[in-house]
Amino acid sequence: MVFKKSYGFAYLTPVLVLTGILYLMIVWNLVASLTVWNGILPTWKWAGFANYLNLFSLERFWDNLRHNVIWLVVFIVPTTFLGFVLADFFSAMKRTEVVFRQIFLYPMALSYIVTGTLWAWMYDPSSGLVNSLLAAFHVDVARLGWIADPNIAIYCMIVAGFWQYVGFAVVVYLGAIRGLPTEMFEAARLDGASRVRVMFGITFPNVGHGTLITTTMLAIFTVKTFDLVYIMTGGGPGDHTEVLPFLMYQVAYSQRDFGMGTAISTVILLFAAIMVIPYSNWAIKKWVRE
Amino acid sequence: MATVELKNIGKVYEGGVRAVDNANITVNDREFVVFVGPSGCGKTTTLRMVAGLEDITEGELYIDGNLVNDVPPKDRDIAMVFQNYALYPHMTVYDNMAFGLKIRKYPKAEIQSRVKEAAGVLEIEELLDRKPKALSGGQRQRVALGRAIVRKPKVFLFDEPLSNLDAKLRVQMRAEISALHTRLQSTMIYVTHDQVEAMTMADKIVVMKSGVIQQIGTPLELYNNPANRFVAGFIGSPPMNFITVKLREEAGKLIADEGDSQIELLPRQAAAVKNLAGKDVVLGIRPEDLIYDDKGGRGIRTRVEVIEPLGASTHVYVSTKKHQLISVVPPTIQFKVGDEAVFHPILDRARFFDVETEQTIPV
Repeated sequence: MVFKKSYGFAYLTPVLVLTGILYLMIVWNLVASLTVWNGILPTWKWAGFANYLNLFSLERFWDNLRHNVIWLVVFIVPTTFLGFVLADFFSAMKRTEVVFRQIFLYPMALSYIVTGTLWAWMYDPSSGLVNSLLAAFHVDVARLGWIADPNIAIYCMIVAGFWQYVGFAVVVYLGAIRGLPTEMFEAARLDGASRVRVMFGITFPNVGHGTLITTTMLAIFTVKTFDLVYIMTGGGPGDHTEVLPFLMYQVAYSQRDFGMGTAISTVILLFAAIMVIPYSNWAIKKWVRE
Repeated sequence: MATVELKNIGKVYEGGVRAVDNANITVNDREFVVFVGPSGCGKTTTLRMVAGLEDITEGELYIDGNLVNDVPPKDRDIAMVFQNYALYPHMTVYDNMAFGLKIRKYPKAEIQSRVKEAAGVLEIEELLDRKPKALSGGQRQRVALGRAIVRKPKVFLFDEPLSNLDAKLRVQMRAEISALHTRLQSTMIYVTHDQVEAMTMADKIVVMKSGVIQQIGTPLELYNNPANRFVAGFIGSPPMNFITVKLREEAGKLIADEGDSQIELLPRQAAAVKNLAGKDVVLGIRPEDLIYDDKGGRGIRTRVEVIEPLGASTHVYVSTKKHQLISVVPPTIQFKVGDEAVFHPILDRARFFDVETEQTIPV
């Protein structure tokens, strides 16, 4: 038996090694965040919590954090909601469902670079598709700058993220809905429940595991959003679309301040943990175990 | 008043698969009708057409005299109990039972009193705050029954509601559903593959096979006068014995020749099947009509293969060179596997079936 146990444990070695490396890097990151280091020279200076104190005193940091929170709220809820509604519609289809599923899932297969480039072009105030279409309907587009407009740039970017991720939500929810017993829906039909009532009163409460996966994955994506920002706006106009991962990149690689950069990445890690862990625990308890 | 009438009802699925063919059934007010048959016989499809969960491709369906072919399920005033209970997992027992009433916008007080009343009848009052996950199979099925009862529908539909329960609970629930029928005095249609359920519960049984109704009648009508070999074999447990015999005339008498054994037919039977002399027919004998003869004699000579003592009676599986037969004998008769045994059929109760058409030959 002892042999068998250790034998089974051996299969976990690759995962354990990789996880070990991951945690090692986190520790290393934490240590580096307490130093002054340019990332190239082999020497560094111990700085204690100076990087963190400097970071928290920056208005730019708080703006970036606020942008991350906007992403969380404005991106996750509509993506999850529409993903569920579309999945519910598709689940009632027979053959056409496959076509729709692929249409909505296709953007997910694209790299963020492609998505960013595509949407940056669509939002282009002078030659972009969005303004061209609006002009075709005789809408005055002279003042519609989209991602060049500081007031709406971040929301325009969130739309691109939504476009890329709604297919993911659809597929997760489709799987969850397909797993539900059909008799439950038939019972609801006999009970006289309307389509909308069935959708939100019967289906949604029973696909909690789908909601858990979707929202958690979207939250993780949101917290580490970088690519879209880098490609579409470079954080602009001003710092109106900057988010923490972008700031980290700027500070660490453009300004060569690795101490501060790693401090930002530690904050991102904490932010993600604070967002995801308690939520996951709550959601697992509510939707999966119950 | 609630009658259900199926007129020439048929169901053809996409791709041309025919599930139900020309079903004509009349379910009278307050009647308990059971659709019975093996898997794939079309009984559940027929029930689902009555419920409105399945489109009717041919024929007309009337509930209370109204044509309801195109009426949605919710407007047919029916309630259905499903095999796997189909409870809403996220709702309490109370909410499960109240759901249909809430949707129909009943006043809160009325919902409360109806749920309480149904819970009282089904003895599940103490479970009202629980969720389905915290209930046993039997309790869940009671809740499913309760959900149907509170609606006070014109017609109750049951789709194999006891199939997921263990044998003991099934017998108990069987009796409870029968009692419920007596108490509610409602029209009920019940689907099962279990002929014992059909026999014990039904006012009227509809036997189906391959989408076609084989016979409609009371349990005893079906048992005593089956329309064909399928019904004869399906209704009754253990099933009827079928013995293929050649009929021949001998000294003015008609003899059924099994090969090893010869059975002289009664004058009434001989007169009825005389025109079949020289041909094969199938003789149907119920296991309880195959009587063991401890003196040997000129009956059907067999060898004992399997013995199943049930306490009150014993099922003996025996074989001739050509046939496997079952006899139900009193427990006082002791057999050993390999014993030679002679059985006499009670000929007066024997049935005759055409070899080709399998229809009953009236005698």
